[in-house]
Amino acid sequence: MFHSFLEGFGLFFAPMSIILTFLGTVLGLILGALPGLGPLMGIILMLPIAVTQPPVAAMGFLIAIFVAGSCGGSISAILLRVPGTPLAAATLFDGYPMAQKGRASDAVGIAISSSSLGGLIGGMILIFFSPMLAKVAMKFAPPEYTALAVMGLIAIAVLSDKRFLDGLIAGCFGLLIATVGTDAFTTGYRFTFDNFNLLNGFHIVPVVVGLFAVSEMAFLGAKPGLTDKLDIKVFRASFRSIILTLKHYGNLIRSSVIGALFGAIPGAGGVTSSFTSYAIAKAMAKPHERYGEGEEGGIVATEAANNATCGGALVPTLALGIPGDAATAVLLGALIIMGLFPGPALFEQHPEVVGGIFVSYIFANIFLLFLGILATPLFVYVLKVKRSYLIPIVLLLCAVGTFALQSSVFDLLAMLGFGLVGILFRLAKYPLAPIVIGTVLGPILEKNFRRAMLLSDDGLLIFIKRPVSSILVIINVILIVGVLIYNRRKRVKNS
Amino acid sequence: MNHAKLEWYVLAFILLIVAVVFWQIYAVMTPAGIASGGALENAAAYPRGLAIILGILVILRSVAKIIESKKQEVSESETSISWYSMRTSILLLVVFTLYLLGLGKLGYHIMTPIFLIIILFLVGEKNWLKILLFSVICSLSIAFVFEVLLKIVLPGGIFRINIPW
Repeated sequence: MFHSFLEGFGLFFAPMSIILTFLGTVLGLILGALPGLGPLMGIILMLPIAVTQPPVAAMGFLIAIFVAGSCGGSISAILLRVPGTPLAAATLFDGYPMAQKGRASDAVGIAISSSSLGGLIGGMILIFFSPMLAKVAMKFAPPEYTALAVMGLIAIAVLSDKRFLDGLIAGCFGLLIATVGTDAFTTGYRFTFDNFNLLNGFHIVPVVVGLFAVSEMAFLGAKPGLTDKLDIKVFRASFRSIILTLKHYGNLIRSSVIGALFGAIPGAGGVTSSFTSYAIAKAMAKPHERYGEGEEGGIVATEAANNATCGGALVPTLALGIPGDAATAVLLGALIIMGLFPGPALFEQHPEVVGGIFVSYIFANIFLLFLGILATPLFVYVLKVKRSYLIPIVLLLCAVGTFALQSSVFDLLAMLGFGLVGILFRLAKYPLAPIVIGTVLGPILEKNFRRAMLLSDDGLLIFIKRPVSSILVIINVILIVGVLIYNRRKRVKNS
Repeated sequence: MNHAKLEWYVLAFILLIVAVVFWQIYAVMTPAGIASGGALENAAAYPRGLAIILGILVILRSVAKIIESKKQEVSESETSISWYSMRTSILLLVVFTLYLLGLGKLGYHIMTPIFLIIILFLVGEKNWLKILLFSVICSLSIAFVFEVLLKIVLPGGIFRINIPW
């Protein structure tokens, strides 16, 4: 672990890696601050640019957007009572009242400091646990990987949305998208409709750009007040807020650990972790602490948790190749585009890249602390940008970025098609994240499933005969049965 | 149009995908000899399995929806989406589609400023000077990033217009 970390330092300290991690932090804060965008959108829009760079620089760039974007949403939550991203929804409980009391600069400073420090704690968990998990997974064979990939999908369907079946339908649809193209085993063509553009299947970029970015812009276009310009007083945060944050060290550490744990569970994510941390912090508050009325601890709890979630979410993504949410699925997709396959093999064959990713993650959080506080006026000023200017920029980036990957007009049309699918699914309130996770996990699942079948003398029984895969299968069954019973009880209670 | 109706469209769309999977397996993959045999030779087994699972899930969801709709009467106005509120979005998508189709034909440097001008107008911007300036600057800035910094050639179209930066 230490060796790979040292090698990672060498890769990270290449000028391009540092510059891109720095730029990613700036972009992440800006995109996070702007309501309607956020870290996922940032990663998606910058993915085509990132994959043209060396792996550590590319991942540094994307991870910095992920980290800073998860914090940026707090700025608009505190100042406007409109969270820039759902991740910051719990931050407004105390952030907004604090700003109303004339402490906006302290509130933003505490949000940035807590995010950064929480992110660093999440980073330590990432650095410590992912090699351990990868070591365990080293003993896994195709049946275990198959059961694990299925578990990732089921967990996301269970936890990411209220309607379990919809999540499963979306996930299976994603798995089917991944079957388009040339079959790796037989080299036969599947669902290509004699179109040579489909021989390699759908590229992940048009799929995610269409599903998320194009559909989001269509929804943004339907909102009123696109040309309204907000009147916000620009201010500067101070480094004093780091001390204010550290005064709540117990809350900070507890919330960060909660955040990292939630991050490591596929589907749980930053929103759940920040609300849970807030609820726990409120329950454990001292008598004089008035949560909901502008209490510093409220911001510390939510922001530390949602940024620590980033580190936690990267643990299964890197160690097992199972993404925790849509953002980590796109990060996983980025690694695959660059020819690196997350999982134990990545730790064994490219320890320097893993080390570089760890170092990038740590530096992204350090940049976030200093840059976030020093450049607060810029990020506050960004809130004044009219949404009418965002729509054309994002749509243009969608088109140019998608085209840039393979210079393919077909990819542009695929992006548009997936955009329309995204709009339909969102209108019907179907979750989109399982589609992306299914698309990314699809090839891994199929390859391991078919290999498991090749190894097996008893067909599907191989998944029950092997101890680890049988445990994973049992967990999968418990998850499904559990959620069905829970939903039934809820329905009975409601009726 | 309400969410319940839209959900039926999603389920119909998924069923259509399932039908396409079976049609392709029958019409293309079976004659190609990749739809039978063991795990190594059978490229159709996995997508067929997925399609069957998807079909079952769609049926379960449909049954659940029918039961739900009988139990609770949801008022149309509570969940409806009006086409009127989506008109800007629909126009945005139409313009975006035309832009994507025109990009290969007329090239980035002709299509992009026109696209940006129309989009800004559609979303309610009225100051033509600002619209023009933004469109030209934004178009050139993105071209600079991709063509100069990332060394990616943007579509030149039939006129082969590319800026020699």
